[in-house]
Amino acid sequence: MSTSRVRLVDESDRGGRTTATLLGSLGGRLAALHVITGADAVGALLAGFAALGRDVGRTAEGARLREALAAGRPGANAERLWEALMLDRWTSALPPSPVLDLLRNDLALLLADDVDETLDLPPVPPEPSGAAAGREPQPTTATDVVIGLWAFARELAAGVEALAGPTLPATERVLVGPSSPATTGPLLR
Amino acid sequence: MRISNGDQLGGGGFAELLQLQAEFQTRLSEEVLRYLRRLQGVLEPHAPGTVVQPEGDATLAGSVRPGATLTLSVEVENRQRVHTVVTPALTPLVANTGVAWFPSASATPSYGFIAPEETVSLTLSVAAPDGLPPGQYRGMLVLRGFGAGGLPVVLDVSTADSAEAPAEQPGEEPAAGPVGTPGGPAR
Repeated sequence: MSTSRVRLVDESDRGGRTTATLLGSLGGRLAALHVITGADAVGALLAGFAALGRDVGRTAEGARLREALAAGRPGANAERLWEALMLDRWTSALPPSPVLDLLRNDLALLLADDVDETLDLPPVPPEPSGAAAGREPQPTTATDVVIGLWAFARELAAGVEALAGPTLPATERVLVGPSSPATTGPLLR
Repeated sequence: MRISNGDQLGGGGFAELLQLQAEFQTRLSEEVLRYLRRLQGVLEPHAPGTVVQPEGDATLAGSVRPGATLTLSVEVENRQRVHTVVTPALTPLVANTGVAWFPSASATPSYGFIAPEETVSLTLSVAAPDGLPPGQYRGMLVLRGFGAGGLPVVLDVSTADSAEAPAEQPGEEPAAGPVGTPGGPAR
């Protein structure tokens, strides 16, 4: 078996991924929602899904999906609608939101063991994105967005299942007595 | 005197000036909007990310016969201070003969959280289809979300006639080795 070894490290020249910086990023995003338009927020998300779709389209699985979509009516209709409604002009002019990083950072916050301590500290101001590579507006297509949404949904579902996994009750179980949800529900009071 | 809004000789200069003005104003407003959106992107809160740092030559290499399965392995160590997620995926593999192979690969685990200072071993099973032309296939193992790069993958596909050492059959322990040495020791 051929084996390689890699390390996952923080970006250079950045604060790195800590509970405080992830919390600052989340708070900054929530605060930014009050100063930008809904169209810009949704457009940046769509541009982010398109960027993710382009990234996933490089893999064998993503390329297969892209080929299948492009060969059938759904792909053709999606591109036609995308252009007719000028979604391409709208989303291609916006910096793509790093949707996968944001999801992973938010899930990592749920697993952090120092959330209480971090919340008690003065809030860390979020670091501005700056002119980071990959944030330049790129042309978007409907197929890119569809594949990006597919990849994001898979990652979200897998993430939630992984979070619940360690404490997930058995599929089949019978609870009898005061702790049973059936006897404590509002309908039987 | 006849007045018309159509193209006429004599009125073309003024109409052209108006058209130029309209185009200029449209272009100016588009550029201003684009600039403001870029500025908005620059000031947007940064999402702390992850960078993959290979140790030494991270090329994943192996050899396989058509119809057999090859296993590649990557040890991933999380040097960050919070959990991170790894989802491996393989790009299409292209041979030096011009053949493109869209492999059927399954990763174990396909999704997983890696705790700080934890090391997880990812395995990727690649099934070579029957009838796959022999050759040296190159591609990438992508760790999705960690930038455009990935780990180089080099697979030698050889038929029973051309292979010196037998490749593994499905269900058996996979054999892999450096480039050009089918069935040799792993890197």
